[in-house]
Amino acid sequence: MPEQSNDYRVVVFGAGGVGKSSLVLRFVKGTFRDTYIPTVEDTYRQVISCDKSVCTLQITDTTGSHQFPAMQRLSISKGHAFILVYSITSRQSLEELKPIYQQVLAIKGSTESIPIMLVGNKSDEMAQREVETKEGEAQATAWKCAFMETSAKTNSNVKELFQELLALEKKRDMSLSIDGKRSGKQKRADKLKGKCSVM
Amino acid sequence: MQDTLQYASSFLDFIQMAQNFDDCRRKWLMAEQELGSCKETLTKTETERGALEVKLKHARNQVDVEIRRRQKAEADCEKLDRQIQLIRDLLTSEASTNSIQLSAEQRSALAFLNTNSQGAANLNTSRRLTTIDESASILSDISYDKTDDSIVSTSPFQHVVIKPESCVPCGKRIKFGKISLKCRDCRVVSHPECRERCPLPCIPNLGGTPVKIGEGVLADYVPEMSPMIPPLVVHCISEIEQRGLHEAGLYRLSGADRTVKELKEKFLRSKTVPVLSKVDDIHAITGLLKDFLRNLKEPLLTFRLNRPFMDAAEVSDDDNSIALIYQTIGDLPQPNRDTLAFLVLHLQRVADSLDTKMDISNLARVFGPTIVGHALPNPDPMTILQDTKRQPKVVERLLSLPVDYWRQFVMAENEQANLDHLIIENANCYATPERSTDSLNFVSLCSVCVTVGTLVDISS
Repeated sequence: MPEQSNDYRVVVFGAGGVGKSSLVLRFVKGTFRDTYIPTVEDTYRQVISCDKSVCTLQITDTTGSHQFPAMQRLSISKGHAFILVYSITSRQSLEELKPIYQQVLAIKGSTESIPIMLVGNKSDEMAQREVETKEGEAQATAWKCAFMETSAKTNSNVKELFQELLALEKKRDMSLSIDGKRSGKQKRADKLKGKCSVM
Repeated sequence: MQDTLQYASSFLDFIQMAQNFDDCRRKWLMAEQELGSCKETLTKTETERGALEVKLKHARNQVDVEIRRRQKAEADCEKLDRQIQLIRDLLTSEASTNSIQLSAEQRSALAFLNTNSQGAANLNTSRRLTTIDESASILSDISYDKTDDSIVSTSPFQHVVIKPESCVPCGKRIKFGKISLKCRDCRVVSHPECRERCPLPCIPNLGGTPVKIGEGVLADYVPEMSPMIPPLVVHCISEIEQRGLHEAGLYRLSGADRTVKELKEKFLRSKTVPVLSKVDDIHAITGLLKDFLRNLKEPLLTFRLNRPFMDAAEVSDDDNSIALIYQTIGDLPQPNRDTLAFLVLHLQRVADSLDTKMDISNLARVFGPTIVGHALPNPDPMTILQDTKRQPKVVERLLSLPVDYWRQFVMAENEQANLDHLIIENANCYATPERSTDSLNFVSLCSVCVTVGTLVDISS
């Protein structure tokens, strides 16, 4: 399903206000804004190195109010990897990931070969915690995906999150377009400005 | 000689005088006779009048009796109607929770309940109006004291409680034997002290909408008279405003899917009003409102006007853009326009409340897809993507129009409807609570009737 291109598309899903945009902006721009603006849909591009090769990491920041099932389906079918974000301060936000996961499963057929990260964001807001780390881990085990708690605000685990996501791709599916292109191009890694470099 | 002459003339004079006297006496006599006969006729007519008065008294008594009988019959009819309604409510609502299973045949057999009572209600109002007319004219003919009349029936209808109900504004149970209020039209039940907080405007609850969820257009959910706003929209907005608009991320965050689905089902299926004040999570209520608007067969701004709205919003000159927007709003069908006005007024208040962190541009992002939608029922992904970027601008423009402009759609027609409503339906309107805290200042449409909850033994 994913297009044969040099792009590697990561789609970020999650309920409204869990910090999807904050995570992405922290990763892409290294900043954190304390403003409160819902996202319609934004896409960020970042050049990364993949095994001595170049490819564009395209991160799609989706809207939290899962209003448009058609758009969600489109994002899923075009995406290579997925970050499912909830807020540790809201059990409801974890609940809302379930239909999204089911949707991914339905469109991709199987999630075995698809890198998926379950992310509990806002780990700095310990006082308001509603979802324990264990519960997040348990959910990740059930979904056979990786798990991490992050904080876009304090820049905790953000870079690691993307690193691990890309690492999952290496581990599980070597036949994806990135690999093919990489072998053909063989570009120098030192040209790259990407923050995320994967070994 | 002269003497004799004088004598003769005086004699003649005397005779003349005597004759005059006689004439006079005769006239007198005649007058006296006339007087006698007149007196006779007078007494005759007086006795006649007496007889007629007795008859009149009888007639009045009879009218009184008839009026009382009619009142009683009407009260009985109403009571029976209400019982039928309650039974229907019970059957339909219980059926959905599976405690009473109704087979399809049973349902169709029971379908007459629905149609019958509706028809009966219509019949009732029309018949009643004509009788009132007649009686009024008769009564005025015989100068009957109108204040005694029963045009305004003051007997409160009995609201028979066969299952526990909750107060819509406060969410607490109404105990048996306590006085409760129930609106005839919107079916809102409340404690007397919570009356002021009932959702306004009062929109007659259509109950059991025959459209499947997600298959109706807005017009299928609105009442026939102004303001044409679906009851669901009024109840959600009223409940949300009642909680004070302090929640950060109002309309951005979403509530539990299941709760939203259940509430929607309850709202559109059963005739009773779900008690939203019992729903803990405010985001489930905002979710319900958004879900309802989003899943209409046609978006609130209609397919036809989708492009005109988007084009108008993107005109670079602000004045021209706003003028075009006004024009396009004018083209909306009335249900859409009224509902939009009600929603925008609410969203403007949400934006004004800083606690929500939802300013106009944030709300526009959330409501763009919800109310603007697309120009086609099933747009392709590219169109969706393009439209999604354009929708918020439209909502932003709508939200920046002045409050007074929007208010006219909800207000002016509101008052008119109010009058109609009072004449036709509302005999028991004790109060029209003015919503002073609300910047809208609706004249209340809520006709609240005193009802006393009484426990009824169904088995008997």
